[in-house]
Amino acid sequence: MGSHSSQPSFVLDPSNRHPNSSGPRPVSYATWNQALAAHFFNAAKAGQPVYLQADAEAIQLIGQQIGLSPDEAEPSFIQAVARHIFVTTPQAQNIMISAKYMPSGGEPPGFIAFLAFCVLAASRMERDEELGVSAANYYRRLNPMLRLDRDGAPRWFADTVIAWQRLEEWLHAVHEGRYGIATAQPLNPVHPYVGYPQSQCLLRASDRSSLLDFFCWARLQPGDMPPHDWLFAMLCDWANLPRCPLSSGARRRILEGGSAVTDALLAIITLELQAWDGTDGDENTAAARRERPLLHLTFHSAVQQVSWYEYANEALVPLSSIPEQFAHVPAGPNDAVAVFGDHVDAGQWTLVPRAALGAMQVVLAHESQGPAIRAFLDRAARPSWREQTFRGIPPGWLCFRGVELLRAVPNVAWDCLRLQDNVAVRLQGGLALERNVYLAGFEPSLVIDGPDPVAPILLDGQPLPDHGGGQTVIPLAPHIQQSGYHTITAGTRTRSFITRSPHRGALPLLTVPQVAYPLRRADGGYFPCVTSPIAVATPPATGTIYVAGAAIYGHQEDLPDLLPHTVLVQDGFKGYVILGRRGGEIFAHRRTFAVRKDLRAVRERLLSFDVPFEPQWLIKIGRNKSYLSALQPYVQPPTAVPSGDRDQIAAWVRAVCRKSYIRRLSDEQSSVWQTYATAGDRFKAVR
Amino acid sequence: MNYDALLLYVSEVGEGNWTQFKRASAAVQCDAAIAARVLSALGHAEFAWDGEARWAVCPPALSALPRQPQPAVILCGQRPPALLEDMRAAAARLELGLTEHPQAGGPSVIQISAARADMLEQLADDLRVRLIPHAAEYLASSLPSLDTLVATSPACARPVVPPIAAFDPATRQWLEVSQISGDGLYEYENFYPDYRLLLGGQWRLVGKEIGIYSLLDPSAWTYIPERQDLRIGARLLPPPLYQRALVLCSGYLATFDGADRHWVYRDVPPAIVGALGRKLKQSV
Repeated sequence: MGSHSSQPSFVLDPSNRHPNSSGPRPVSYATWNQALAAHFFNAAKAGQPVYLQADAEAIQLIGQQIGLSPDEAEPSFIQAVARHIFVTTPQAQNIMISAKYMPSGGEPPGFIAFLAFCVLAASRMERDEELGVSAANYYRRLNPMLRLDRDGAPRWFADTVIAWQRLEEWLHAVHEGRYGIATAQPLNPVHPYVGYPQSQCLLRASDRSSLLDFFCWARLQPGDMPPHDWLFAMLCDWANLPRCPLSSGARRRILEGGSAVTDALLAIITLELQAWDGTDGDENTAAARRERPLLHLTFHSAVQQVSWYEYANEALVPLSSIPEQFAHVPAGPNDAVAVFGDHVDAGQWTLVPRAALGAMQVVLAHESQGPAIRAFLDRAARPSWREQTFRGIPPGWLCFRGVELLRAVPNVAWDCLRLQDNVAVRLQGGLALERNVYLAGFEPSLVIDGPDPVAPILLDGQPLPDHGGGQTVIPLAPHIQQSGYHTITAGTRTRSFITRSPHRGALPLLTVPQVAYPLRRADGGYFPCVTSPIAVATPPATGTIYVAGAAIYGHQEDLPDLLPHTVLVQDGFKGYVILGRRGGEIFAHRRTFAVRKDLRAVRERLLSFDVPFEPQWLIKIGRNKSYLSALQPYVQPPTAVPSGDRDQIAAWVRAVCRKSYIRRLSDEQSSVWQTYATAGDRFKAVR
Repeated sequence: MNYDALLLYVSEVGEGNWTQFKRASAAVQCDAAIAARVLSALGHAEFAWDGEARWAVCPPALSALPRQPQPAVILCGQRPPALLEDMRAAAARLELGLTEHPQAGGPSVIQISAARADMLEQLADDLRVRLIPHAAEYLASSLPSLDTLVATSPACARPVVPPIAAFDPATRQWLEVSQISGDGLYEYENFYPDYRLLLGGQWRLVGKEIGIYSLLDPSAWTYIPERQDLRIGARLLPPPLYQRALVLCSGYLATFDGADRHWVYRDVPPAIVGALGRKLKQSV
């Protein structure tokens, strides 16, 4: 992509402006390409389906980012692409060449603006209220934008399929989903180069946001992957509701679109469902869900004295904002049992509308349901479930832990324990970096639960062992050769996930702690502010330090003092001299022995000296000889002439200048000692 | 148990909740509670238990070892592959000794030794990570005393349900009990175990180790100065930050000596043993 690699950013160069020109302000193709790539494919879209939805509104928005007015943006964009194809490089050669290799580093491919151009043409069909995948309709919009006076496709246009495939490769193989998951697909096998751009503008961004409302309305849960026919029936029911928030165009596509459009819509909805984390959409679409109360179960650590369950009208209300007591006990046969799932993002046990096959759950049941629940669990669950009573359970209620349902049981009295069907396909284990994104080399296992056989099971189109009923666990790591986007098909169910290799250089190193032990300095010591580490968002205040890992963070005056250095020496010598690095750092101790014959026993003991400096050398003074050994590894003395107690400095200098020690030093230690002796001579000369 | 993979995971993700950590631990065949203690003791990650349990990897740091024949540091905290590659390259360029020792029950210990201390400062500058001289000493110096830890533990009411176990300081064992029998440390059954200390009529919710040490006699630690080994009885490991100060002396977790059922911390300088022992009322 050498043609645009030198473009600085999205800043418009004023010198490009033609003041007398009546046309749109010229902006280079490369600038548009960069701006479009940054707008549609960025880190905020990691793991999410992304659409190159370059309709007029998007082009206006991006145009503003590069300094164009709303009126100028679309003509400027069309002009830039058309010129790039026909003026700069005839026959779109440059575009096609750029599609044949992947750019290196962080550069986006050079064909993104061109593909966006194709999508803009498709979106004009939507604007003209024309439905269907019609090649003729499409070229009627595309050709005028290219200033071509013809009816059919440009001669080179079929090659654009390569660029769409390269875009997917760039997103999945090169960036491993960090900039999003590709969604473009050939809606029409006869005219795939028309289908690809149309697939990017079938649903508007606002329609896709509304899908979260649909998922809740359909009582779907994150991780659900229902059969397409069921999903489409539900989608039609929802689109027919008077309060359905979809645009009229999207509703017509759902209710009146042909089979290719339906398949494309279902593929988009499936991708959105896979990426859905169960959270609300925007405020408007979340309104309907507010009607459903949520019971939020929190199990606390040992040192917290509050109840372990909470009731809330909104999802995941902070614990501190809820009264301690259980505010609501559901009534009625269907409310006498509640199922809690382990909400991985919230990190807590959270009420779920329906139990899932094969997942670990907690069931809270009213005493009146106890015998029936026990009988049900005996029939439907793995025998590892257990009934437990402990502090905090509301009076009259029972708690069943470790509930893992293995099969659907007919005629279950409680909605929440009625399974959708008898097959569950899920991913288990693996090192999940994000939802559906796994660290390469630590891929999950595929778990298929249910009494009925399921076949075929395919991973990226390659067959895996079939499921013969019961539970089948297939480790996926041995079957995955390279990181990127992967799809599993098990019978009518599909699941997809991404594997990502560890960051190479791009991962910023942390410089400040996020969780730490805060300690308060007072009265010459430190006092814990809390009983365990806490999340810290700001630097420590004056008078406080944070302990995080091996480091202590705080203001200089609050940091701890270094411990006095303790030197252990063998007893039995007449005296000991310990030297530090700086002139004047000297500690001396003289021993006296009343009975000399005790010396052998004495030498088996150790003496302990605390010295107020970092000890470097030890001199043991015997009857006739003195022995020199190193206490610290190889630290050179400072070169500056020491100041301070003159007697101490003189004693230090005498000790390092003395030549008669028996040295118990390695060669390297001897050479360092020599630097001390040299420093001592120099200090002596200066004095 | 693939602790290196778990450390790679926490380095990549940076921070998260307990459920995520639990699942990641299970994926590499580690017990999550033990893995949390291990990563915390080694200074790789911190775990917040109050309210919603969360964790975060610590910023990478070179922590100086106190008792080595040559100046030496270990790598603590975030350990992304790119940092390791840079470190290996820098070590080769600066002619430093870099070793990666596998460690039973924990991630590998990455130790770098140099002929001179200033070469390690150069390494830290090149890698843009913190060099922490005297890490273990400073940590030992900053730790609150046992009395402070007990006094600042939250007071609580006398429990209405019976305990399930009590710590017997004479035998240093947990005994099954069904009633309170005077001052002591009691375990209560909750979704997670719950430890409550009764001292002089005052009930407190305490960490298990704090409760145990508040009842222990001062002879639970044995120090062997010649080898600079600190030996601590089974079930008597000190509170988490104390463990970290001891681990940072060598870079290694305590090893268990099955012969006399003791944990052994190696290369612990007498100054650190003395300081920690005084704070935990242990005579060494």
